[in-house]
Amino acid sequence: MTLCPNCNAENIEGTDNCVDCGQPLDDTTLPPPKNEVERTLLQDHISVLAPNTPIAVDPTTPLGDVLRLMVNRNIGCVIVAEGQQPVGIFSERDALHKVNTEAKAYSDRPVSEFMTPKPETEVADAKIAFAVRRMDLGSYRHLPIVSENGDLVGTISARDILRHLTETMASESS
Amino acid sequence: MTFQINLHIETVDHCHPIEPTCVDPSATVADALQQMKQDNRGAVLVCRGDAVVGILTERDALRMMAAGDDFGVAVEKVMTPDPVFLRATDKVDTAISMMVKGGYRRLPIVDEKGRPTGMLKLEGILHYLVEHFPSMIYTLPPTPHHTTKNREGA
Repeated sequence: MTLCPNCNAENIEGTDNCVDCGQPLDDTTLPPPKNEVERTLLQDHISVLAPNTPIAVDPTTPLGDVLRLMVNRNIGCVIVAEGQQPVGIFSERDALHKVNTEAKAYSDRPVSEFMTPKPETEVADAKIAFAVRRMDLGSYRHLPIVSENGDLVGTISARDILRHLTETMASESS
Repeated sequence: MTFQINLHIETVDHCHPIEPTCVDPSATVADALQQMKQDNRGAVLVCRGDAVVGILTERDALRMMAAGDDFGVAVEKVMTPDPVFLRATDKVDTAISMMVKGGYRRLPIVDEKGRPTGMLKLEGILHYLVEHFPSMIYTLPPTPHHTTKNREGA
């Protein structure tokens, strides 16, 4: 069996294109990774970043509680979820742009008024490169990680990716 | 032209540092936050004359919002004094390690005289990574599991 480098589907030995995603199975179309950093970005899954347990709140949670939660837990964003489905994200950036100096006045209003609705998500078995690209395109610092049916399973931050790269660089030079 | 990630050769100015935004130490926090919102920045540098003396970030702002603090106080009372900084000649891998070790999301770039010349953001480093292996990232399918459920054809 040959594993598709793209989607990990199993293919019969000797097949040219993946039966599942149609991408070529031989890597000749893509330059081989030149160093460990390139390799990990392209081949490792988001799960190696050990996504954090998501800190999720209900859309009706008062803003004041959310702000204190972020400070106490030392996190840069909370996921706003209805049940297991992420419906929004509230980050430091939202706090700066939508709350700013009015924190006291808005403290009892629900977080759903201030969150960024419908956040982009990623699945845990996607390659790290996908997360990097998605973060870069939308200039996001956090991505909720979901299971195949859209349930929230974790979050990763741009910093998690950089941390992983430093560990990779360290293991390469040693 | 071949691109390769050379984190230990290329300098931080390849990672799209942005123009620094500065405020006076005596400015109020409310003014500084307004400035950050207006310029769409996550932090402002606090400068006395030309030299950087501190930094005020959105994290500091969040802490004050959560505590219900008064935003009328002077920036110098709540800023982080003498922030960690980079030189323009520092390499990308140095910047990444500094960010990871210190938990910083942005680092000011300062010249020999202490004047700020730029601000390196974590996002800038991600963008550098995307740019440096375009052949790999730009040819990724739109979703990781871009699959057809049924085979086509007769």
